[in-house]
Amino acid sequence: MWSYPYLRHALIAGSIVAIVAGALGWVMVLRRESFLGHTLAMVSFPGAGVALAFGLPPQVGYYLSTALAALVAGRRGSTQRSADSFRDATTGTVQAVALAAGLIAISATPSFVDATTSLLFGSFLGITSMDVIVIGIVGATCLLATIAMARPLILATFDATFAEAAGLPVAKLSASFTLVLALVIASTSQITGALLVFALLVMPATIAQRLVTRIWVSGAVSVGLALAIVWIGIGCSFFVPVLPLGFSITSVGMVLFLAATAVQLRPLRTKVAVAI
Amino acid sequence: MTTLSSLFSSHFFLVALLVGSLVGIICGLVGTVLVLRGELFTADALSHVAFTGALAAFLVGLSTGVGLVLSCVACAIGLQLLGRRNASADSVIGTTFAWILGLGTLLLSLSAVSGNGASGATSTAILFGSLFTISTASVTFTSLCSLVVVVAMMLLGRPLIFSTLDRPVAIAKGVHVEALATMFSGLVGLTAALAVQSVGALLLVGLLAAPAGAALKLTRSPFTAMGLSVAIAVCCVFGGTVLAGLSTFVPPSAAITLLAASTYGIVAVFTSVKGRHHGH
Repeated sequence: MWSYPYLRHALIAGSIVAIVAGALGWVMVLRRESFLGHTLAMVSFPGAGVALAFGLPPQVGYYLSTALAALVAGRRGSTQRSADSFRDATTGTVQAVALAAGLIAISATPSFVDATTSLLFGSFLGITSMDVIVIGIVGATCLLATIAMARPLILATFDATFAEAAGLPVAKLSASFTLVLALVIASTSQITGALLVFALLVMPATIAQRLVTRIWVSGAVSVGLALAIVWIGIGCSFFVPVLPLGFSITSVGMVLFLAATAVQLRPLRTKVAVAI
Repeated sequence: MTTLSSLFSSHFFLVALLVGSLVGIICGLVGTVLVLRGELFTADALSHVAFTGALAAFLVGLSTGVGLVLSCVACAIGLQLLGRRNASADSVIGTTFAWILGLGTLLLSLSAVSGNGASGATSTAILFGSLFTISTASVTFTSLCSLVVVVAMMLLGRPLIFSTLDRPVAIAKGVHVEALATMFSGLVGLTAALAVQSVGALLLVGLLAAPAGAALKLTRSPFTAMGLSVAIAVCCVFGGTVLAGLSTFVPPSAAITLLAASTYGIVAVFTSVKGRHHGH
């Protein structure tokens, strides 16, 4: 396997994405911001379409659209429930606006239509060494930034009122995390597609949080699971070429998720049996 | 250049207005409750389920409409059952629909292997909707299903809002909260299936979120908000369809979404400015 350069690039890039997404996704899932994360992944590709329609390089569109979406949808006002549901509505609207703009851009530049499915579903194949370097640098920066703010961020996530009382800049923290998340998604989704980025953000973290209750351990488990999912997924698609990478990777994730759910339910069942 | 009068005398345009308005009505109703319950992510998930469902129907040989209704209703109810009693329902939903979309990529590549070019057209139509190419058969289908959603929302509306705004009290009063939630999920699935055919999977969330968000900013009463949200959604559908009919390159779904989003944006800015004014 190692002798194919495209596969080497896929494995290296996939591993970098897995480590970064495993860690950031773990925070995202803790914060219950899967909808926001998915929206950021979805807005990046229409952003590229709009940039192309204006004759700008697509990269500008990727970064600008996700950053803009993060600023609008990632704002956290008060901690009340009513504010929560408006954030939901805003997130959904931001996603729809981006996609509508992208759709108009597609209609204006017909050559972009073919790119739609690949930008949505993407793959790790066809990655150049330049791509690997870009993902590596952006990923490492964002990972370090997240680690640096992890403690106060998680405190603010679990108890926003207490964090505010303790003098933590809760609103600034969540805005910064959303921006970092947006940066990672923008740099990765243009290479892997929106689906794979989102899958690697949400799946390992969800599984890890079912399996492990100790907080930092579960973060590490999430990164480990993300790596395993990417490697097994790439392996499956390599040996069974009919399977698209998006399917292999999400299927490995789904199988692990179901297994984790079963493991989580088992002690419950024995307890019930003992009680009876 | 198309004129307004020639637009209103053409069959396809009137069909688009009719179907669009029906979809606007049900999205306005269901969207308000979805926003109040903080469950818009389910709709986002369903828009991806719709893609896989339509491709599966295409491969099996079922009609797109039937495939969409089956997959969306089944998944909406499934996600509701999976997510309940769960600390982080959103990540469970995210995990599940990521896999379903992955399954969609497999179906897409399978249909490409079988050498059928129509699957590409199907997938584009599902992703972005096709309000201007709706068949007469699907008009009847959409009308009947919309009627079901409207009647069900009228019957369930009051207990549903009650259980959303004050769950413990609703349980204490004997409201079947779980059963209601499951039935509502079925309605969300049906709404998504109908809306996907006109506005498209990728823009479904906008039509559910924006009119409802705007309406809830304007009024405190959830029932008034439902009515207002329907009105906004139908106006946006009308305006968007006319704009798209007159323009050469703006698709109807994009025009509808942008109108709805600007309405929400303007209302949000207006109410926040007004709120600040009152605060001082």
